[in-house]
Amino acid sequence: MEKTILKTENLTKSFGGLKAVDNVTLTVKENSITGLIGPNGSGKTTLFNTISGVYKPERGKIYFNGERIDGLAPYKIYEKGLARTFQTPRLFQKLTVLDNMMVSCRSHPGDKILNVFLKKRRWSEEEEKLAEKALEILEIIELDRFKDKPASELSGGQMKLLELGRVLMTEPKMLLLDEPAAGVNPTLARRIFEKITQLRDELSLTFFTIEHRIEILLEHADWVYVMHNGSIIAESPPEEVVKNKVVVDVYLGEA
Amino acid sequence: MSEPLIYVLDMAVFVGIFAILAVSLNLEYGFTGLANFGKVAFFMVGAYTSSILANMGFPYLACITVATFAAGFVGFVASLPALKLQADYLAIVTLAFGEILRFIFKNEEWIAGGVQGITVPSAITITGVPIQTMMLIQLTIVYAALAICYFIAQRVVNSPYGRTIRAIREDELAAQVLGKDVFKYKAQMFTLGSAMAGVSGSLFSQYVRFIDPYTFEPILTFTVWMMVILGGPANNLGVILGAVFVQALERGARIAKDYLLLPVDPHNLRVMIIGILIILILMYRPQGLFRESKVKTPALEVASKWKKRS
Ligand SMILES: Nc1ncnc2c1ncn2[C@@H]1O[C@H](COP(=O)(O)OP(=O)(O)OP(=O)(O)O)[C@@H](O)[C@H]1O
Ligand SMILES: [Mg+2]
Repeated sequence: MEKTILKTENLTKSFGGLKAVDNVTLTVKENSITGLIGPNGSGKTTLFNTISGVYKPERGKIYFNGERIDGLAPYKIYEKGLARTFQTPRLFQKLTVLDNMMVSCRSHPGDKILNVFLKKRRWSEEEEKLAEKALEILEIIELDRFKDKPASELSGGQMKLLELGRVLMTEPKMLLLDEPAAGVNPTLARRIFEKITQLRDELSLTFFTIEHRIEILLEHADWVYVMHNGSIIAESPPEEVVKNKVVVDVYLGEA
Repeated sequence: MSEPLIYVLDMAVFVGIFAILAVSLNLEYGFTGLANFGKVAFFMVGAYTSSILANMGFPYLACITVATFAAGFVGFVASLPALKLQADYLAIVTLAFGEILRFIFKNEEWIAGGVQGITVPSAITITGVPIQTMMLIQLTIVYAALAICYFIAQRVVNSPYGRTIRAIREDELAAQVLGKDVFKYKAQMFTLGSAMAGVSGSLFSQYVRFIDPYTFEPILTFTVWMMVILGGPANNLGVILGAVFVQALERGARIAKDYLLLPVDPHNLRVMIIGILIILILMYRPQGLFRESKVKTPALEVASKWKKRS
């Protein structure tokens, strides 16, 4: 767990006069579960948007696996193995739950216009395998019953789960999860984090996770960053973060 | 052959020609979400290319093939700047593109006669057959072309690729973040849609045998839009039926004009009826007469077995 997989250097992104991300320098170790916490509006989502290429950083550098990725288009960053979820789910509303999963898979031979005509047999086989995989993930997040429903008909929490399930189809090296357990019932929220830990162990994935459900996050994280007003104000192992005076002041409050 | 029969054949040919346009707009708008309001431009490129070649004495197959590629190429080139724009701007820019192209054909007489238009010789070299037989041959060719376009469109939309373009229509940013080079897919669909419009334009010019710039006014694009919206976006069969429906209305109005005595001009009545229908559809059945078709791939079968297992 020593190698650095993601690194930002003096990353800055502002909206008008507001520095939503202000000179952020941080590293995420490969194969870790790294948490990112902080009050509402502290810039956590903006940081993820900047890392994943949704926003171009104004200043600073981003390295993924030692390679510069700042300024790349989002799909290029995905191709390098860095995928993300959205805090507010952005599902493909009219597509079924299963299609939402399937569309997210990596390098499908049937996703190229010429192969659609020339290699039907090959992509059909791949399609079956991927459908199995998608259904297995759906079972874990308890959505397999709804596989044929349009995503627009899911409940808020179910949408959140599908947002997470979808990104698990992408065979990433690293995932940026924006509040994966928000709006999800307590048992399932726990199960999500257990699953995250299991995936980390079995598939050597790296997770960088925003979460307000601190108790669950701290149970599973290896390292935690705390953000406030666009800056990183603390970083530490999870058990120490709750004792940090500054963090208690700005975020956790007195117990 | 009796006159009514000729009339029906004539209508059938037009239905076929417009159905191809409807299928092509459906790929762009219905499935990919591209609001192309310049459909007529690519139809026009197909028609003019085919007509110029026919005047040079090329056979039909050559005319229609080159027309298809020409329209596809123009579509590809036009898409490069246009697809960088947001949806509303795309609509305006494509609309303007069609008009600009039409003015070029209108003012540059050396291309194809300018405002005078050009007559199109038949590129089918069969001599001494009666007009009815010629019509049947035309009809067969038009429907063969429609069948091919329909087959291609169905194959595209019932594939992983078809799933991706629908996803792009639903949420472009999410598709990007999930690794889709959105621009590439859009440009491909725009090119394919334009090529199909070229097929349609070529068939049209060979059927009517005379084209001029007034043939290609923006109303033609709107007619195709009506077919797609009435029939049901993202349903290929639906938009073909939309083409039948809109054509029937148009023809019906013309018959009414010739044979009935009505207090309103039936031609205007037709425009009113279609307008009212569109409003009603958008209010009460925004998905059109037919719902969006499913993505039919082997995944569906895997999923249906899954139900039994759990
Ligand atoms: N697109 C935008 N345009 C303008 N301002 C924005 C935009 N996105 C975020 N902001 C502002 O940037 C700041 C940081 O927002 P961000 O969404 O990153 O917070 P967050 O830490 O994710 O909060 P939360 O925990 O509530 O999700 C906020 O003050 C917000 O108003
Ligand atoms: Mg946030």
